[in-house]
Amino acid sequence: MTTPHKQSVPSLRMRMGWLHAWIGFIAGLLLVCIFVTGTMSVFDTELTHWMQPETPYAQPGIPSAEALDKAAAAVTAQEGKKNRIFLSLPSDRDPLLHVTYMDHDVFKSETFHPQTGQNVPLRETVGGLFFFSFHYTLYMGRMFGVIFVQVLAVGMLATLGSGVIIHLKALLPNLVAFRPQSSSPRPWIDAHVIAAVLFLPFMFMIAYTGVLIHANRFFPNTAIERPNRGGPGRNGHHQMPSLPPLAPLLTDAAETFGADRLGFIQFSPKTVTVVRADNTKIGISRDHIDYDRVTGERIELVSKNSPAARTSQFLSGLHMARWAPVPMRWFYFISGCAGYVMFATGLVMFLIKRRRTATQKNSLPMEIAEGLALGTVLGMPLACAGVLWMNRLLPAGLPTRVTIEGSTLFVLWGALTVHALGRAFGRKVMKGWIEQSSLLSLLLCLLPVLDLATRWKWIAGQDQTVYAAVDLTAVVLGLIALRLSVVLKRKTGATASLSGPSFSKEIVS
Amino acid sequence: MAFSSYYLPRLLIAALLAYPAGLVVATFLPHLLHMPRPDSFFVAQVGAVIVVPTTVLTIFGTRSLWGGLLAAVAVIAATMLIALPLAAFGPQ
Repeated sequence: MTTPHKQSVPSLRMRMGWLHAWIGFIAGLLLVCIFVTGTMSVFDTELTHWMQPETPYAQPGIPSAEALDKAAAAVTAQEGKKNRIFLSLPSDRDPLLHVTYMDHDVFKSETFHPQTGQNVPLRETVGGLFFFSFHYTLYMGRMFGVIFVQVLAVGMLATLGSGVIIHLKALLPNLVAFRPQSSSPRPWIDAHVIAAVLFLPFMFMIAYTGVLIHANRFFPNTAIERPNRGGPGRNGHHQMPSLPPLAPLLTDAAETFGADRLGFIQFSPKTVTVVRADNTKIGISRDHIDYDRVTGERIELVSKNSPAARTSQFLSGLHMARWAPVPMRWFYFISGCAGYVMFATGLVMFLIKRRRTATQKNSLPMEIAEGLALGTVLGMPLACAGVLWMNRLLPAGLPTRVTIEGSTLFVLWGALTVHALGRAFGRKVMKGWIEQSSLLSLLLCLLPVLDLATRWKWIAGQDQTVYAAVDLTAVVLGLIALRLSVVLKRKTGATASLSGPSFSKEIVS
Repeated sequence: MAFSSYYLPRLLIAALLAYPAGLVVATFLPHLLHMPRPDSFFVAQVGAVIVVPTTVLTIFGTRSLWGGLLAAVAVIAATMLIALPLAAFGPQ
């Protein structure tokens, strides 16, 4: 698309094309990362399971009184020190009992066997929640980070809207047109459009509901009086009354919600709250029963049932997919991968087109853009794979392992971006793509080997489903990365005679 | 696809107007809806989140900048009108 002539007004398609390209590129650099970690978060519980290979087999169900007493003791020990503590109850996805608390923005937990009440010595890990937190805060704080991600999601909505207008006439034909053998940028455009059009409802839904989940941060409602949550107990700096026996509370809550529909327990200075599980229906209702903290008597059942509240719960549930059975989770996962492909191909297309029309072929902004695109498109998945590797390579008892695991993502991501920028400045950005895709394929394809080698002593008696699913998915994604590196190597070889190994020239061919 | 001067004013105006446009909806719509404050505010937020990207698209969609601004105002008004039927939820 060329710069419009002074006298002529660009057409609607050109105006939307400009908006689509620029907003898409700027927001897309981070939206790629948000999609990668969001896609992983679909299976956050399973990833945590994989990252704790000592996890024993356990039957889900209401935990025994003995187990609850031991968990209550752990809660009491943590109270007064930590901001937020809750007791996660067993579920089909995670059959163990966890006392979870926030420690400097990182979730930590003590785990108990739901039947025997024995403490299960699991290694400390950032777990799947790490990717989930990154997905919606970018680790920039729960206020600024969330708002920043919301702004990016609004950018995505504008990009999707302009994309629909650009491709409106050929929306359906584009669906069946993939021409990988055509000259570039046709294959990139085809992949971009197929991923976007095929999953268009998902893309709109995920961006829109993503903003709405935390809409109170984006559009704060200052007119609402903040509820009294029981005085200064939330910051944990005063004496808390001792807890009542939890087993009778759960029995009572099970009569209301159902035995397999209990989610977690929260604690405040005045109440103990049993919250309904999120996986019982699409809407995340957070219906809960408050019990008196001293006597254990039921105070009230709190349930928001107005149509607006139900709509809000439904939209949140639709985004988070906590209700979804396994096949639907895979659908979310595949849709997330399509989102990644859409943004990755979009970034590449932007660079190809810009290279073609740029007056100065090797300008600094162009090289920075090429480096950043590589650093996010391949750098972020590589950094995520690095976290999984670090999880298994670090000694299980290392006290600082959570910090190291978490830092791995950022250190690796930074290093890979520096590498990408270095390659871009050296006019060898294609070499950078080949190197990073090769490394990604290596890390992912060898993940099952790492898994078996470091899980061997606990493997007997474990349910293998989660481990096999994570390993196989890694191998499939690794093979895709391998294919990418092979194709790029072939293309680079074919265009070796072209002078000036620029990004466009290499990818265009 | 250069970062041309033709588009820059539109981008700046869109960036300046889009969020306030949503804020207008989020602020005034609850007063028009006869339902509990948290519910009416949520309905307003539902509309406001749509208004922000729609305003950007509208400003870029029109041939002249003034047309874009007028259309953006129309978008805000239309959103409020569309959201009004949600008042059928009624007070609790």
